[in-house]
This record gives sequence, structure tokens and C-alpha cells, in this order.
Amino acid sequence: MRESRVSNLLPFGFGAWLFFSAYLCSLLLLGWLGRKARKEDSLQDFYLAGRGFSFFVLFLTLYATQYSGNTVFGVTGASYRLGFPWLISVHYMLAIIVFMRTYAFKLQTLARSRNYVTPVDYLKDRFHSRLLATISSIVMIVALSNYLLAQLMTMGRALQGLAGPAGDIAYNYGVISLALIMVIYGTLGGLRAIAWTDVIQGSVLFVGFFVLLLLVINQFGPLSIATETIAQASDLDKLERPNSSMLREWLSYIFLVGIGGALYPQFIQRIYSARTTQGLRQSFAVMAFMPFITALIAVIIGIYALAYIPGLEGAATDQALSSILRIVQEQSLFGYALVVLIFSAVLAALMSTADSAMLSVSSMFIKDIYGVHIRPNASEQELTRLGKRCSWIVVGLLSLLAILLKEQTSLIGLLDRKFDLLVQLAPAFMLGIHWSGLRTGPVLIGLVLGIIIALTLAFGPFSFVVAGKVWGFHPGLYGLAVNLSYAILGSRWLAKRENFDPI
Amino acid sequence: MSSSFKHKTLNRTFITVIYLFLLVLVIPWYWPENDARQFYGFPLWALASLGVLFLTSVFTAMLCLQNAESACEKVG
Repeated sequence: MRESRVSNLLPFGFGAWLFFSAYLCSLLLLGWLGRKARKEDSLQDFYLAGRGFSFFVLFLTLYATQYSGNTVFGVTGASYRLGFPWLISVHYMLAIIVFMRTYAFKLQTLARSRNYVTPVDYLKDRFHSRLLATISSIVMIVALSNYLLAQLMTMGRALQGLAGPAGDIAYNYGVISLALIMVIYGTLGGLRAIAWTDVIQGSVLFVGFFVLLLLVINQFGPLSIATETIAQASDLDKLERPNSSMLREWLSYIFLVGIGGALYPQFIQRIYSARTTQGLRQSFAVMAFMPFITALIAVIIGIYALAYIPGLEGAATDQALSSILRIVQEQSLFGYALVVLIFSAVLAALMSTADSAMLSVSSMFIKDIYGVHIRPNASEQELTRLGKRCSWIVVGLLSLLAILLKEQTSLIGLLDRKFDLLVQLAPAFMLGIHWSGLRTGPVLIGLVLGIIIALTLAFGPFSFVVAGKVWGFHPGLYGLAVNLSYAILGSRWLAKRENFDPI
Repeated sequence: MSSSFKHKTLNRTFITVIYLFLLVLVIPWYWPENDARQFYGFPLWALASLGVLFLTSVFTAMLCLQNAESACEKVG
């Protein structure tokens, strides 16, 4: 996450803004239709759409949620900076599906039979510990709020670049207007409306990425010429195999993002909302190929930008995509129209990820914190009503923060440790669902130890922590190693002790 | 130990071994570091890694499409 304008396109004309307005209005319409389609005033209906998603909706909502603004801007920017070694982004996107597969199908079956609404409902049912449930909720809420904040800031920057000299004001308006639209359709129709908008957003994203690749090839020629250009500019390190230090980072990213991403609460709630396990399995089967037509295309665009738009440095590299688009935009009316479509895809990527995060945060806060610690006897209707208000408050506060922190990238960077935290939940979810011998105490202590180690290594003044990593590995993985070992060994030790109990 | 439990454990072990094998190959540690040869604009090491990644996708999709497990599995 970086401070920069992520878009330096030519300002759009009236027709383009009309197109965007129609697109945004369609989202509001879907929100209203989602509200009309609700079957009851319950948490299950609002947050899980009555568990009625078929393969088609499920696939597109998973796709639109997984590929965010970071995929569009962050991956192209990182590929511009690092070259082909940033192919790791394709790998870790697949790793998320691989790790989700380890527990998703069994969890869906359980969720349906035991009426889980939030991810923590499973933990309460499996481990019967309020403390474990509360800590897990806090970890997920913190990680997701940070993610939502990042998406809001990128929304602002996406519009900032279109506004020319009025960019700073456009940033604020961008954050406020897009957040407002998102919270309206999200609170009107809940997950049902969000998934329906994801169908549009996922389709636009899917088509947009294909169009983008075709446009770039048409504009600049084949990739081989781009690669030759990079080689002639003596940027050979961006074409060569990653060095051993970078290879360790590859391994670290595969595990950290793979496991952490697989534990995103909004993904878990989509698992719950599947109508059948079969539909979920089919969605995952297709999702396993999506990195090749989304993240890989983003890497290729970054390579083209590196070849044909040299000279971007630091945070400005996140403008790689928009710099490419600007060239296409200037060529013809057709190119201009296609850039409008791609920009819609960018908005789609941002909003579809942000709305899912918003709904998950509000569900966990209301059901796992408010409904447990503040008003345990609250009715479903009351919790659903409060959940909607909570969405408004969360988005309002984070929008304000996005505006206040516009220039504070270092502070945002500090907050950006969500995967280091989320991976600590892996033993409880991924192991706990398969191994009945996993005990509550060791899981709880393991989780706390994992969090402490991850945060200490990430923020402590240690000389051996280089660029946020220890010997190429993220702090969260060291925490997870201790966490997992403690959970397994502790559970085995407890079982052994009970077996030898003379009573 | 029931035969279905044995079968499940074997199945899981097989899946884990295949994934570990793919993981070893998807990280191109075995490729010469200074090799800049290309094929259609992709460095060869990148194509090798993407090829193994594609096999991982195929394997994952196959596992996903296998018959669903019993709907009445116990928690844990």
C-alpha cells in the first residue's frame, strides 16, 4: 500500500462519466432488489443471503472478492519494480485456493447443519472458549479494517488522478462518494446485494483484464520485444531467475498470503453461504485457474510498462498501469472507450473487495462482540438492525481515516501486517476441523504466542529484521511455527496425561 | 482402525506429498541464476515455474471436483 496517485489518465469526458454513473446506479438498484428479495429479518438472511448461492453467483463473488485494487495497481507496480520475479503474485493467489480447499468443504457442511453466521461461530462450537472466540474476532476485525482502509484510500487515489489540478479534493470526494454508494447497497440488501453486485463487478473485472491484455499487445507489440527492450536497458536482474534471498521470499509469500488469504472472514462467510457443497467445489475448481487470467496479466502489464515507460521510481511505480492506459487512451476513440471499460473494472475490483470486508467486520462486531459481551439476550432482528448501523459507522470512521491519512504512508505501512495476524488462526480452523484431538488450551496459548512473536518481530527494533522479514521469511510465519507446534504438542501431551490418569 | 479411516489418511498423505513435490518444483531454485533465455518473451525459468503452477491448478481442480465428503462429519 503506497501513497501515490494510482491514476494519471486524461480527464474523462461527459460520456465516460455517464457510463460510470450508470454503473454505480446499477449497484444501488441491485441493493434495492436485494432488499426486496430478503426472506426474513435475520442474521443468516442478511449476512449469508439465506445460504442460497449457486455455483455461478458463488464463483463470481469469490472471484470479485479475491482480486482487489491491489491486484490491479499493486501487482503491476511491483512487476514494474522487480520484473519477472514478481510472478510470485500468481503463485500466492493460487496458494489461497489450495489452503482454502483444506477446510472449506467440511466447514460448509458444518455451517449449514449448525447455523454458523460468522467465522468465529465455528470456533465457539469447536472449542467452547469465549476467550479464544473473542481474541479471534479481534484479530479478524483488525486485519479486515486495515484491508478496508486500504481499499478506500485506493478508491480516492483512483479518482484523484482523473481530476488534474483538483486532485486533492477529488481524492476526498472519491473516498466519500464511493464509500457512500457501497454502504447504501451493502446495508440495503446485505450479502445478497453484495454478491449480485459482485456478479457485475466480477464480470467487468474478467472482461476488463482480457481487454487490457489485448489492448497492450495491440499497442506495443508482442511481449518478446518488451523483454528485449528491458534486456537492452541492462535491467537483466528483472528478467533473470530470482536470487536465493528472493526465492526464500517466494516460499514465505506462498505460505503467508496463501494461509492468511484463505482465512479472510469474507471468504469464510462465502463458504457458509453456498447452497451446496457441490457448487462450492465447482467454484473452487474454476478459481484455481483465475490467477492465470488476472494476476498473470497484471504482471505482464507491469513488464510492458517497464519496457516502454521507464523512469518511474518508488511510489510512482504504482502508476505503471495508468501510464500504459494513458498511452492507449490518446491513440483513438476506441482506445478511449476501452480505457473507460477498464477503469470501471478497476472501480469494480476496489468496491467488490471493500463491500465484502465491510459486511464481515459489521457481522463479527455485532454477533461476536456486541451479542456476546454487551447484550447477550439481543434478538436476531435487533442484531441485524444494529449490524446495518455498524456498517455505516465502520465505513464512516474508515473513510475519515482514509482522508486524514492521505499522506501518511508510513503509518499505513505499520498497520499493514494483516496476514501476519490472520495466519495465527490456521491451527484452529485448518487443523481443528480435521483433528478431534486438538485441545482448546493449547490452541488458545499457541494463538497468543503466535501473535506476540509476529508483532514483536514486525515492530521490534531488531537488526536481523530486514525489510520486515527475518532471513526472507515474514514474522507471521515464525509466530505460526511456534503457535502450531504448541497446539499440536500441547494437545498430545494433554491426551497422554489423561490416558495415564489412574482415575 | 476402520478401512475408511485408513483410506482417508492414505489419501491425505498422497495429496500432501504431491503438493510438496509441486512446491519444490514451482520455486525455480534449480534453474541457473544468470540464464536470460526467453521463449515468446517469457524467461525460461518463469515458464518452468508457471508450467508447474498450472499443474498445481489442474491437481487442485481435480481434488475439488472429487465427490463431496459425507455430510454428517463430526466437528474436529
